[in-house]
Amino acid sequence: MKKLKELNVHYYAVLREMTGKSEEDIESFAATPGELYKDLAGKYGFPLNSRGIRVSINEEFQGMDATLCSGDCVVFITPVAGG
Amino acid sequence: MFRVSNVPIDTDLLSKQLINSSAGAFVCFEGRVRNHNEGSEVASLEYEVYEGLAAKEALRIVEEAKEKFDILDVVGAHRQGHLEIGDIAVWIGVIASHRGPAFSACRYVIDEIKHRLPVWKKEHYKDKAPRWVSCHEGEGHEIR
Repeated sequence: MKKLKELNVHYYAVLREMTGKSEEDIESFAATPGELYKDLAGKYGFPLNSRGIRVSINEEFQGMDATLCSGDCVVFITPVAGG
Repeated sequence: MFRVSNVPIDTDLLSKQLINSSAGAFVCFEGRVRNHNEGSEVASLEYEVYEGLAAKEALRIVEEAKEKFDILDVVGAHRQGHLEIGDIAVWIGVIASHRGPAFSACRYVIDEIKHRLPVWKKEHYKDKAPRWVSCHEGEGHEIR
């Protein structure tokens, strides 16, 4: 049975503009970042295909199938363009 | 050493950190804001950075460069915020005993930074709406 988790989600660039906020605390049953992304895509209209989007949990890159824990800080990284 | 900066990059200050009597070569890359991209006239650029992760990832890239190439040190900086045409967006300096590894390492660091650092770039144009662009051609995100 899935547990309800308290997550802190930060948004940057195009996702920040789509949500209208730079961060929020979320209560979610999502077990993985992939599941959380689908929930947020439905809520905010993010692209449904997450290909090319990476995720960071607590300031470390992780896979979309990583395990989410209560208290995690999650950031979805859309394609970047440094330099 | 690599830092994300809210203020103009002081290249003299960064260069001074690379003074080393063993270094016979100093190579630097300076990325500047240009006035055009893909046929459009660019008016200015905006960089947004996830600072915590960017600092960690940049340090990893610098350490990789030190392992891969026979170099002495790497120093770099990346801007965030709103930049005008001609402003320095990124600066990488490498010192080594010889020029070959210094050139190779500098190229490696800037290439990896462009693809791996959580840095986003919004182009503001002279004649159309701004948009977020990625370093992968054709994957720009139109603003809604």
